[in-house]
Amino acid sequence: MIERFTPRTTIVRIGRTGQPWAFTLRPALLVPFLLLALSLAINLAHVPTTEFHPDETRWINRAHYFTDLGDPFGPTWEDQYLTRGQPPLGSYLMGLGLVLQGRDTVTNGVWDFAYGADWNTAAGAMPDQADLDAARRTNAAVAAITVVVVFTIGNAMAGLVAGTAGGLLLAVHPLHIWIGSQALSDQLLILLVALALLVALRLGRSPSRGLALALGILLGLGGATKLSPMLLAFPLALYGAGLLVLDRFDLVNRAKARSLAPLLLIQPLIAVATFVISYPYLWPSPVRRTWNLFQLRAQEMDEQAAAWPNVNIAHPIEAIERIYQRLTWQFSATGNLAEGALGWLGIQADVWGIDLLLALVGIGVLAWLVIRRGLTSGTALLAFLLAGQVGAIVVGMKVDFYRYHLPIVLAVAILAGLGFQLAWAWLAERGAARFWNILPGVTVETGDHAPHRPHDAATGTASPTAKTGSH
Amino acid sequence: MRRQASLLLAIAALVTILASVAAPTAAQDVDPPDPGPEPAAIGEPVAPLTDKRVYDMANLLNNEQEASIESDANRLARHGIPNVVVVHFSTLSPEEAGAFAAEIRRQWGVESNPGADDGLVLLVSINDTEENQGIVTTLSWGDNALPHYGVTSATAADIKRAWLDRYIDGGNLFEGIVFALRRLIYHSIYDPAPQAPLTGARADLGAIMPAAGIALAAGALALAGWCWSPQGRQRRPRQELTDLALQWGVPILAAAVFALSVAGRSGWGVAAGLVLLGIAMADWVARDPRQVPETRGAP
Repeated sequence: MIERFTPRTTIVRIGRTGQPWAFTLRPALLVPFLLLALSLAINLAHVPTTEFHPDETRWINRAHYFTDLGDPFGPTWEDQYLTRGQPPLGSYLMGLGLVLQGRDTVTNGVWDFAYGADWNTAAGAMPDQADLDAARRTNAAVAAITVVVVFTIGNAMAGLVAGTAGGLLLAVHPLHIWIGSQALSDQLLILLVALALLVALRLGRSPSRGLALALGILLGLGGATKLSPMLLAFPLALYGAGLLVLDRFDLVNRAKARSLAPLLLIQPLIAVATFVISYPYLWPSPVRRTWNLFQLRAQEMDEQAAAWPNVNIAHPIEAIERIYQRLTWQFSATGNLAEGALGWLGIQADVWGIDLLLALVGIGVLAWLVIRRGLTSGTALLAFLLAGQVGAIVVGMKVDFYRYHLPIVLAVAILAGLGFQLAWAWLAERGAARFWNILPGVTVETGDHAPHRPHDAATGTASPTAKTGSH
Repeated sequence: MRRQASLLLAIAALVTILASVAAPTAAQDVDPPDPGPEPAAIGEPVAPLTDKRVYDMANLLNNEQEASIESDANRLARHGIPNVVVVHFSTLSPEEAGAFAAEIRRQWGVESNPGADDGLVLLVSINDTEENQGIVTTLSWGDNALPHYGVTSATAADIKRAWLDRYIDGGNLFEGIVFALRRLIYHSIYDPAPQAPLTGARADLGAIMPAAGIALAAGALALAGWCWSPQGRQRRPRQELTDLALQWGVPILAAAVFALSVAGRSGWGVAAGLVLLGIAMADWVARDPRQVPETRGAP
């Protein structure tokens, strides 16, 4: 069955050869465009209706960071609460989005969470509606691009079905849509994590300095968005050291391990350098000010836990329980789809989502793929990074805020895609894919195989044994 | 007649008892004026400043409003501006009110440490006499209080005019005080401290690094372009030396130019450092020995 998890080029031919309306489709090119359009349309449709969150004002307020990059020693980058409060990449994105949509980066004041909306509105901390909409649209686009990256990961790792299912699940996921239609930085975070996963997958397949540099830069930029991804560079270096140890005992592919390990060992250097370079605040004293950043984030997490005891998380087991509750009952793509279908039939019900169940199946598939492909494979690197990101959230989550679950949703989408690929492979082995036969004039070709339903040049009729693509 | 008198006495006794029971309860709801400074004799504050910062001697604020102002005054103190708010009736002129507020600041020790002189007294003097009616507001700052992050003399004057005076003139005493405190808090938290000017060697670096950085970056770019070009690859004299310069010299130069430009606050110097770093990275990637098929594998 492992062969069914090996990505192949799939081509769909529509119509008879030689006829003017005959054409060829490449799903690996077409599907991401469709997913992009779907996700963008859903997110943009939610921009005007999604509930306002005061956090959005902070990101819109800091949009001026983008234009202030032109003056890296100006007052913006002095040691102060706002620069210590959050790393800057989300603010750069907001600024870029506003500028691209014809707005400027001089926006609202800073929202003070010690006071209510009345005071903050009077003090000028509420953004203009046009700024809010533009910032939200920026995030909507980022969220749609993330869907495409998830498709690419699934397609490259396992096949077209894994990519399509993973991308689709993310595109219709209610938490992804919610945050994808708010002006926050969490969508940028998962985009960078998804890109890092994709590059890790390719780095494992063909180790090269260019890909190693790209991976380190993405982890550094992830750190410049929400700190935690940068920390993944350190266990990645340990992974590289582990490969060298395993190589000494001849337990891994020697050529691959010796090629890959040095590139993993330098990841912290590249990630940290990228993080520092991207943030002028850090330049005068990189170590001390980075420490300030982490300290303030930890302090704010503790203060949030004290201020909202109902969302306080005491230990990682409780974090897992919260994740289960959130992603099963409150934010579930499958639950939402089922509720929608039942509602269409006139039945109102709270449906138990099976996203996590699908992800559990995906974890099994991923573990199986890692065992088959080896620890020097891209799949193993991706699994290691994914586990690291999810683990960091589970261990580090002190308060149960909805947005902290978004990286888990990314992992769920990728893993659930693998679950679907498994189901597809199981069905294909039983010949279920022959349903293509009912589509007149359709031929499917995959990879280095001959067309599964070769055209009869004389009659243009299809063979009755056509099979589908992920094969 | 005697029965009627007894009944009246009984009713009077009941009323007296009820009144005596009710009196303490009613007294709790009354907001008595705070004892506090008078122009003639300022005296001592009734409590440590950390416990009580609001003195409403005019009794114009209710308990809830006082508590709200107290909360914001404490928050402002936590963000580095020790302060006291005083509201009183007086016939002081603006100049006299300023002197009086400064006297409160000194005698009550409104400062972070003895001798720091970094505190603030917000004084609202209400003239409610028949001859002259008006309100004088004063922000009396210690000599070392300003600038404090974004709170400068100009910002403080703006806050006084746009928040304190505007709301109080409109008859909103509570809003005027509390909004002024909140704006001071805002500028204390969210604005940076004014930047100290560069002096000495760092100022010299600031002058040198733009030109030096750009010249070094241009030189490195020319060297890399030549080495990477087909002609450069084919017939390059002293190949080891140029390779050494690209592999080790450029990265070290990039780090040095970046660090010196940061020390001298030179934006152009930093840009030059980043160009050098880009050249070093591109050369490192171009020299990758891994472009061999045996290192390729499963996804």
